[in-house]
Amino acid sequence: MKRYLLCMLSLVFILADIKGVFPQPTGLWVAGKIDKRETGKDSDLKMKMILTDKKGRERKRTLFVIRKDFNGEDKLLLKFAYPNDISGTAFLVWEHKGEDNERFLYLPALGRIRRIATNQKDENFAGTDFSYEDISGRKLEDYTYHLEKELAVYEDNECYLLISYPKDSDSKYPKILSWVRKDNFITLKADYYNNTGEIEKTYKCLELKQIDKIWTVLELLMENHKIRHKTLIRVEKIKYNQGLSSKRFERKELKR
Amino acid sequence: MKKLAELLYKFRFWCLAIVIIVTVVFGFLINIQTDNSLKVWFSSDNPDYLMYENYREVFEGGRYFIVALRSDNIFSLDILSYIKEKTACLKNLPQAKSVHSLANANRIIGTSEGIEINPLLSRLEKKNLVKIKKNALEDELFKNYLISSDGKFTAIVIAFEEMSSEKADKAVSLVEEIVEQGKPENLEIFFSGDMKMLTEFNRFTGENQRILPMLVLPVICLFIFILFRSWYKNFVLFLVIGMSLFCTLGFYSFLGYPFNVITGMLIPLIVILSIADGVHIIKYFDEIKEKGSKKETFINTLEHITLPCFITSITTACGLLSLVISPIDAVKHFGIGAAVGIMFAFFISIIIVPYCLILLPVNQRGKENKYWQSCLKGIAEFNEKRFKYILVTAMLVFVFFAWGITKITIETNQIEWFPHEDDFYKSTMLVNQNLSGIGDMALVIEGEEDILKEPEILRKMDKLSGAIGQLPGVKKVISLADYIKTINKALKEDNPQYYKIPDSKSLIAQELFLFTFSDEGREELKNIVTPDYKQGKISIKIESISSRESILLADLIQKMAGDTFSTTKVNVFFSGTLYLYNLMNEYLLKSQIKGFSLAFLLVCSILFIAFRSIKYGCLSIIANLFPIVSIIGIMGWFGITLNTGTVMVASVALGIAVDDTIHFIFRFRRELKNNKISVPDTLRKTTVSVGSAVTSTSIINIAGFLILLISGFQPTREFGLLIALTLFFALIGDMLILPASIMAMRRLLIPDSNERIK
Repeated sequence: MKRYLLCMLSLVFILADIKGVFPQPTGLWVAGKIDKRETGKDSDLKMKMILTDKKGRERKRTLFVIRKDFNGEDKLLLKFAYPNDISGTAFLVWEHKGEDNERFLYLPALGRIRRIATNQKDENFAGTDFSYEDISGRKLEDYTYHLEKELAVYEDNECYLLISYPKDSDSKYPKILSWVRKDNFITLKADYYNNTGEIEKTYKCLELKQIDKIWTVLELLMENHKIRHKTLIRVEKIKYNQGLSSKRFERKELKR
Repeated sequence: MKKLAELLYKFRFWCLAIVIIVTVVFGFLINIQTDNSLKVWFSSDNPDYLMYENYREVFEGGRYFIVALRSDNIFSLDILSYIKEKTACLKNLPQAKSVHSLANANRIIGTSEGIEINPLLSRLEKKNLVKIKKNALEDELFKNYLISSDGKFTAIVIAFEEMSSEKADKAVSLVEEIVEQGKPENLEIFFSGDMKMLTEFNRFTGENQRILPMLVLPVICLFIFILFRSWYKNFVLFLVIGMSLFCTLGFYSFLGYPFNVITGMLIPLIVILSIADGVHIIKYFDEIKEKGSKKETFINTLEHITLPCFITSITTACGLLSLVISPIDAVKHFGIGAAVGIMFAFFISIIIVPYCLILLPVNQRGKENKYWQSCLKGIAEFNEKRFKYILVTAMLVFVFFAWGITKITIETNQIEWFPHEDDFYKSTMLVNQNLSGIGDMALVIEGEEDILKEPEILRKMDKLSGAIGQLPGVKKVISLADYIKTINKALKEDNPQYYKIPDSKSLIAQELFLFTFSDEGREELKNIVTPDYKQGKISIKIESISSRESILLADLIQKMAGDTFSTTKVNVFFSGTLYLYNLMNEYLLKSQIKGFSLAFLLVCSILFIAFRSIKYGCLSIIANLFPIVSIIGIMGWFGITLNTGTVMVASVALGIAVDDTIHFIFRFRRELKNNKISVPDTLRKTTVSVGSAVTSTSIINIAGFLILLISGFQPTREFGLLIALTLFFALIGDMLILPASIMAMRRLLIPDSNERIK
């Protein structure tokens, strides 16, 4: 009986596979996995940024970042600690589904909070080569997806090769080719193609580690080949799920 | 010389074969490349050029292409949409470093809630058009740069890297094609900027290379026929022209030199000058043709004509070679190419022309023009009888023209090189009148890191910018201080009283940090300040690009900048394409004065060595000072400026003018030695015999150079006119002043025989 059951189960699995009960992965499926990847309810981190221009001149910045998920809409607060002349400058982003994000800035020398209006999602963040989207994450519904290859190897890692096409026709990068690790859905590399079909930017994950059981990119690089400028971000400390209070993401928090 | 002539006859077939092989080899080497970019004007180690390269590297872009748009209704939905679409399209051009227009211009505005750094056209809808117009016209950063004060002109400014002429032509064509596509009906488009000027230079270089020689050749052909009345001789001289041109261009290509607006004149110059030796050979050959066999005529001609032709070629080459000391590569290349071309023409002439002439039967070797002969006899008699009047008149004319030299102005205005009815000229004038002008200069301020965040430095920069803006001819001044003032005002609810540099360095740093949050903000600042705030520039757009005016302006601004920043730790220097061009003019003029002095010394030395006589050397210098002084005097009296195009004339003219003098004196001395006749008789014989060849070559050359007047390009026209006038005055010098001077100084020149001096 037991043997019979085993045989029947094997047959069911074989048939299920043939009939597509376990569907083949699609671009949207991979993108959905990336979107739903565990990032914690909140996070608190310290990072260093090194911006290098085409002449090799470096500018360094240190900042503290807290993030919290508010029912699928993230709020993000960044405070600059270095260089000294911008120390205390703080930036708050409120993500809104289906409408423009709200951005607030606090300049300590001015002593007042200011709202910043910008329209472009793919605009670079704070003079770096990362866009606001790269920092705060993409909205799944803003793109269409195509799985170029189900198996692509990037630095000995098995990856999905995913192509994302933005729905916004004004986008600076009409095609993004990403190498997404199969086991944890972390993007290891991404090439950003511009309107002329050239790779304008390349993202690389340089160090990846599990912290509090959450896969965390500790060092990441974005290189703009067109202007020969690059930004390296190094996460120095990170804590997840600290139970950050919602009040810490209010406008008045910018001044603290 | 006789031995050489005999050798040339003995090995005439070998010589012919060598000349043909050399011509074919050089013919295969011909590779005409046009390049009017900055690197052809400057040596790669030139300090000012290196400084400019550094400036260009730091502040992006180098050449600007201005697409000016005119309409009574710029702020309509269709025109603004068109500008938006074209700006996006042009930004994708790989060669374009940046594109600036109303479509990507940012407004920094304060709101009750915060600050907006928004593209001016971010909400391009019909209901917002009035607001967009108001915003554009009120913004100090756009005014007279992207939009004219009456709102009828706007510009799309594209910055390109410095590039080769070929690439520039392609890039400009592509931009023009993109812009013309889907143009709204009520919109006029004008193209200007120094990038466009570069491609216009390429166009005129092509014209100098191809069209002008095609026009010069029939004229030369006609005049040769009138003078010799022989198609065969026409053919022989054209063979010399063709072979000289092949060798010169092959050699020029072999050296890897490109063609540009200056060196483009090389082809017409060689076409015209290469016939001189041939004409002298034919004239002498015709003169003695019936006195001996083919061989004797061949040898006799070369025996008597080779040395003067060689010396005339050497003097012309020396005049041209003096251009080598110029720091401007284009001028150097022209000098080397033309000097080598003249020597090729000499060697080809003495091998080809006599060989071709002996192929003709004696009775077909040409007829003397009786009318011409009687004219020359008349001139000789006039010289003999009226030599005192000639000398006094020449002296008066000389003084008059020498006075004109004091009136000469040194100025290059490259825009004025273009015909006034030319589209580029008209477009540039419109841009100058309505927008910021195409002249771009930059005052670079540099110091330690973050120096440009210091309120003291920024206030001084602001004060200096304001003062520069008040200077006559300055259309627009933009510096980092303008951006900081605008951001500061925006952060204070757009209160105009905060349109100033803040007192706190931290606030300035944070305001700049805020501004560079956006791509647009960073894009704007990258052209005005380096990311480490070590170097910043005050961008100065000026109306005219006249070298004299802009150098005066630059000197004044540099003095003002020196005074303003004297107590600070910053250095200040000037750069920018226009400034570099003006420096180039200054170099060129200084070097050409040296070059002319060198040419004068070289030519004089050759004359003294060739004549082996100080007296005859001095005599030839007197005869040649007349055309040189006359031509510079004419430039002074008629307001022809000494500029990049005309500055070479004196050196080139000296080399050419002296040729006829050499032929005249050589012949005179030979006649004096061989025939025991009086000085007036010798002069008469010389005037009639050598005068025929001298006037023939001069007339042909003058006609050839006058054809350059057809060119639409001012430097080519002026070069042609001035060289033609030089040849005319040189002809007067050789046919009237030189014989008159010999008459006046006959006792001094020939002291040993009183009998021969009547």
